[in-house]
Amino acid sequence: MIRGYFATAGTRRRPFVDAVFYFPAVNATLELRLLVDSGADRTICGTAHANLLHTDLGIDLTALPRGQPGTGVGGQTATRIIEAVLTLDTLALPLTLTILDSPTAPGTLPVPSLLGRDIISHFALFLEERTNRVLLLEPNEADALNLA
Amino acid sequence: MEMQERRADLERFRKDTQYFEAHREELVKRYPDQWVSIFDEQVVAASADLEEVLAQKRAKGVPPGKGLVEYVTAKDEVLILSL
Repeated sequence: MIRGYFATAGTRRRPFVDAVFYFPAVNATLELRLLVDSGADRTICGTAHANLLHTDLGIDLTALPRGQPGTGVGGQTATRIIEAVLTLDTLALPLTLTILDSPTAPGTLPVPSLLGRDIISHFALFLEERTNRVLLLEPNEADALNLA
Repeated sequence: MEMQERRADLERFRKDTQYFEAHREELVKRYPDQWVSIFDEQVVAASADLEEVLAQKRAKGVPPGKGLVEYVTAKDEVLILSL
């Protein structure tokens, strides 16, 4: 089981998990808290956190392969992709991390980094704000609940 | 890099996110609409300019990629994502 938490972002409570990404190509890690987004097809490195990849880790984003454009409510955004290993609690999962390749528009909040369904699909997602529970249950744990 | 090392990083990072959440109201008052970086449960950098925060982090000896970097604001914005 992976445990996340509800945290205040802006003025709202939102579900997050803490994560460490390892990038084998550069032998470096990046620590991020990820907004759990069951509507996101992919796990995303948000606009501001992309700066950390470039400035902190020295990864040349322009040299990375282009990903499929990300489509959100505001339209399409160019993306880059990089192979990574995501550590959540005691689990390590390989993934292709999608990086939003566009600056944050002036006067707007940066798009957060997201835990998407490429990872969530391995688990049963349980969110309960009342009790501050954000749980990603492994299949055997979900089956034991006998919810069906 | 060993898995054990990444798990140790994650445990320390969790303490940093917990510190951020526990002190959020204080941080909003002190650093409104700024980026802050937390490492080892301390504020190590703050600025409206993200690049400046990363430079401050480096100057304080925080290893690259380590620590929480978050935007602190009291502004209300509805997120509709699904990228």
